[in-house]
Amino acid sequence: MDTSHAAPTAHVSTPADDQHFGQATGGKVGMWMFIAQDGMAFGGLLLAYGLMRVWADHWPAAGLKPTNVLGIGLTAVATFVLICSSVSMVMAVQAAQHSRKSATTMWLSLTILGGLSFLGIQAYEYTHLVKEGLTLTNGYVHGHELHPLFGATFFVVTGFHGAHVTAGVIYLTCILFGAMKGKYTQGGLSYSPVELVGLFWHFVDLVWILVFTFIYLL
Amino acid sequence: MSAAPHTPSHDPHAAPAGAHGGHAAPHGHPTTSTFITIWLVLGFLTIVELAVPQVYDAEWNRHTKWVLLVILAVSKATLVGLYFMHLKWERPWLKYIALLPAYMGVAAVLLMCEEAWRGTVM
Repeated sequence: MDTSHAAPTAHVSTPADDQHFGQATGGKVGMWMFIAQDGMAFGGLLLAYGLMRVWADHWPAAGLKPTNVLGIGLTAVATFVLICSSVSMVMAVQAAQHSRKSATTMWLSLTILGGLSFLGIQAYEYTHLVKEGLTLTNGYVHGHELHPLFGATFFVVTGFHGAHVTAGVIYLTCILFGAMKGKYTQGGLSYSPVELVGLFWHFVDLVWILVFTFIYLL
Repeated sequence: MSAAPHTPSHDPHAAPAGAHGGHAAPHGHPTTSTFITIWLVLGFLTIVELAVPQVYDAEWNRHTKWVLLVILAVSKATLVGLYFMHLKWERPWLKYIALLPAYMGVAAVLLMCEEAWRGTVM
């Protein structure tokens, strides 16, 4: 019995000990795995859309581009709002890391406001498009009969993203309540939940960057 | 480029973060100015993105438009991943997990090339 080698077993393992993930907590590795699979869900939708574009002779109709049917200016504003909310999110994480409770609360609130603004713009856009005649199954806009799958593609992809923004706003609100109680500004790794919601929120922003380009601009 | 003291210093904005945490600290956090810079770059790239469909509006130059827009979108997404999602400061294994969905991009290119080719022969 060699007891001299038993000493390390008493040592409590910390995230810093992990050779492969360094300072990453279990929560962070888990969130990244979720993001990776969620990214593939979006990838599947965009892939189907891409193949449809290759098959289609005209998208959405002869002499019409997606930029002629969809409101690019308004969506560009929504895109910028989402980018700004990503910046406020990194500021919230930074404030939590430095144990600044009121700053964390303020930046989280601004991030939620950005998410709600984005959803408001999307609701306005959907209402406008449906009134013009673009629905999941039908598309007769500006006197043109659109590709039968244009509406379905548009609403499914942007709707799936909108559902993510909605989930993100709810998630952020839950974290905001915790932040108001000072749960994430107690030093050490207590800021971790703010970082995790941040990862999800930036992912939603990242996906929108791709959706905006592929669905609206291409 | 000739004045660059270190080989990985392709990004001038990483310098203040590196100075803050030191080279030996992979978790050295970026500063507020890093985030503001990335924010401005993202805003600028969005404006460029909006201009591209206006400039390359014709049928004959649509491929240039597609390539430019995809490059711009991937660049923006990479900036968000590297800086906002802190991937730049994470260990390789976390980066590999994050890269998994990029496989969809490879699949997309392969499938679309195949479909386009099939379209020419059928």
